[in-house]
Amino acid sequence: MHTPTRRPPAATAGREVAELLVTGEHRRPVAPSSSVALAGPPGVDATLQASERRFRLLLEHTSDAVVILAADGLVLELNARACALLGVDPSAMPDAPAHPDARTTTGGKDERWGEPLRLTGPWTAAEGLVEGMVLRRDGSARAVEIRSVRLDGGQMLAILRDNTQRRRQEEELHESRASFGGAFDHAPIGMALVAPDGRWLEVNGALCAILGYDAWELQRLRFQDLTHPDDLASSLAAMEALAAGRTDGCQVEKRYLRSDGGVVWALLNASIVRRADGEASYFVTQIQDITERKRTEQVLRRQALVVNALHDAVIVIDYVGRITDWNPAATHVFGYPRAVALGRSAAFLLADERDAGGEIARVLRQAERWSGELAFRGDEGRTGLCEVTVVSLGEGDARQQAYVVVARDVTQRRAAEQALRASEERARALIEHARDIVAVLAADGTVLYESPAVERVLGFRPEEMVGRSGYDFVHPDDAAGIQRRLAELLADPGRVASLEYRCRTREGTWRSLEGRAWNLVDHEAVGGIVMHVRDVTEARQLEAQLRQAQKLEAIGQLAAGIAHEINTPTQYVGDNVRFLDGAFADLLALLRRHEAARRELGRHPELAALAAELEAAARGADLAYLTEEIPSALAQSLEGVERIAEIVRSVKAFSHPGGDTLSPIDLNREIENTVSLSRNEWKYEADVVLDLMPELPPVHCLAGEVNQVVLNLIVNAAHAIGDRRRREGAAAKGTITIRTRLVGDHVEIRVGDTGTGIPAHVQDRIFDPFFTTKPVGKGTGQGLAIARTAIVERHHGMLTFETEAGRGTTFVIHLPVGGPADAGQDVAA
Amino acid sequence: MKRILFVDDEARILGGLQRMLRPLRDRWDMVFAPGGPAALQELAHGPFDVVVSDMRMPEVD
Repeated sequence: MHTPTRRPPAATAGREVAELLVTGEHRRPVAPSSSVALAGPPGVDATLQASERRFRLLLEHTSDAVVILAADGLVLELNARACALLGVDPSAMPDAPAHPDARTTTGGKDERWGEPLRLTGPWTAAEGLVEGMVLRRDGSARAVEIRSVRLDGGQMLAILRDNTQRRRQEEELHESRASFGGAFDHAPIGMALVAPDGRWLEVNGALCAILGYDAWELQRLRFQDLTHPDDLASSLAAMEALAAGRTDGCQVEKRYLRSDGGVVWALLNASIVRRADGEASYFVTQIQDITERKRTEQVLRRQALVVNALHDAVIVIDYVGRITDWNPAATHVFGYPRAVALGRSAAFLLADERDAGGEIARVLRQAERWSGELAFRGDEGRTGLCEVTVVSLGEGDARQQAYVVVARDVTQRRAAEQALRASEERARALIEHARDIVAVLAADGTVLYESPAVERVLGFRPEEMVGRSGYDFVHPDDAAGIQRRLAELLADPGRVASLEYRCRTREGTWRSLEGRAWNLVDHEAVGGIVMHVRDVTEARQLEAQLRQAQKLEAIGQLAAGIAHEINTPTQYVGDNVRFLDGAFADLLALLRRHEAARRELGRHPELAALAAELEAAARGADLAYLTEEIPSALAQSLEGVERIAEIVRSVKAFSHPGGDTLSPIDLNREIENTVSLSRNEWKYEADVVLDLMPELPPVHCLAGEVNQVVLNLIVNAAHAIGDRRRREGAAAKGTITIRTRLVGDHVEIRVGDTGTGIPAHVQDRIFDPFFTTKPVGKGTGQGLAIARTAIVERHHGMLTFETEAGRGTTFVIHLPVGGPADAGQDVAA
Repeated sequence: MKRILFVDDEARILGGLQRMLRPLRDRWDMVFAPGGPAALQELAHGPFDVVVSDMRMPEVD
């Protein structure tokens, strides 16, 4: 550190400080005239007295203290001023003796007057000016300046000037200069006294630190030498204006060049001290290092630029919510120009009534920031939504509190997000609620996505399928086909492939799925093969049933023709057999006659050889057997032909139902016919027992429809019995019992079986069209539906059933004898 | 004796009938015509008491 050099304080060099002691008491001075009562020429007396008078006047009126002393310090004369200075009260003085010499001759203490007044001390022998201290009798001291002059006879004239004031002033000045020096030296800011030409006269430690030079280095330089070139002109101009008196003081921001080459920004305050003649004596300057401040200012400027360039609105508000700053983006968002917004309460921007400000303030008491969304209302009615963050600036006490509000207008974004969300929701809803399954597979068949519909169709939740191979679910017979399709799609991405395959359900059954697939492997959002399939199981079943029904219908249509075709050969075969039968009978009769003749021949020995030959021939021809068997054979052939004819008749009867015209029908016969016709359906499973009421009156009905109904019931009965037999492992056949009765004006037909019975949960549905419990191909599910339509609607009859699970079922048909028109009130619609 | 005319375009049926009815040849005078035209010819030769005929025959029905 530098120590400043200064001239030492103004303790006067070369002067001694004498100490003078006042002792004794002063005596009233002798009357002036008496002191000079010496003989002499008369004219001299007058001059002497005049001189004496002038002398006294001078003594009394001078402002200095004058003392005349003997060589030993005895005070011979003193003036009023001296009395005051020495602390002697002139009014309290006893009289002095008449003659001064009288004092000296006694040489000692005078009893009446005590010690005489003395001013003792180390008087300098030589004349001169001495500084001293007078110690008075009362103990107080006075600083004095003593000028002593030697008089005749060893006496001394001492002129004392009270120095106390001056000494005090000097001391004060000294102190003040000392404290000023201290203030100057130890000031925290750079201070300098600068000559008018720019030379540093005095510099303090702070300035040295700022500029990086020692004091003595600086005192060899001028401020111009260290001023940054860009600021030189303005510095000089300011100092010059100051010197010229155009300004009283100046304040300039300028740069100095440090000793290490760095640049320091300084705030310079300068004033001027002038000499008495008005010329500039020197500048007093204060130099503050504001480099930090400048840097901070630059940072703030940059920050302000940033804030102003921001897209987000930045608003600063004070502790009561008034807007103190407002960036351009805020104007953009809210529409109010800065001038309008400043000073207003920020709450005026809020669109709703709730006390958002209060809420936010509450949160900010605990946390650093508040984030949320606020609806705003801007200029000209514009409204919207902002994402807002509020940060407390926390500067000092409550009144200093300020807040920064950063708001981003997200109105558009929200709207877009909502639109997107809505669109996604819609898309998702469409897929999820679609009845069809949408799936995405990887090229190797791994399931990437299944829409929720898959659960309804297959029973698997989508997550149970994703990640597994699709082939795990596809029917083995259909897997190869699917593989081919996928390969085709991968090879030719533009195609759309049709798919049909069976898929496993959770329960282990199969469902038929059908749909399309296309290749979106390269599509960003999908990345796989998309399949859009629908459950066609029921449809396929219906198709199969329909095909079956059509086949049956076709056969039915052919049946009449077939029957007729069969009929023709049947007829002549029958006729021929009958012919043969008769013819053989005739031949046999003839043969008997020949036998008789042969036996006759046998009686004649000469014809015995012939007879024997004949007998042998008969035996050879196995005559006995032929005689037995031929008639049997013929009879059985005839039976067979009869049987064929019967079937053909039944078929014809069935195929030609008589159309839409009601006619009286012998139901018993029809039933027998139908039973005969359907033998193949029931003969393996059951025996048919007919309990048909004799003399059953004919019923007005449509024979064909009634036959169809009875046929269906018989077939169902046979199947039910077959199911039960399989379930129970029974070897014995069941029984189908058909009864006819007349009940009032209705004929009742009962078709009963010893089958499985109808389970409770199914009973409501058995008359539903297409409802069947039989596997595909074994029944169209239409039988009972058609039966009900026929009996109830067409004939106004009734079709009901009685069932017992595990024991059997009996279907009961009621037909009005008189036909549908005659049904009366018995019919349940 | 009754005269009966049997008509059928199927030869075998006619033959079968004929054989079957042979035992009755002493009771009825049976004529077998193999089709409509032949039957008409027979009818032209003289009256019959009964005609037993197939229906839906080609040519003359």
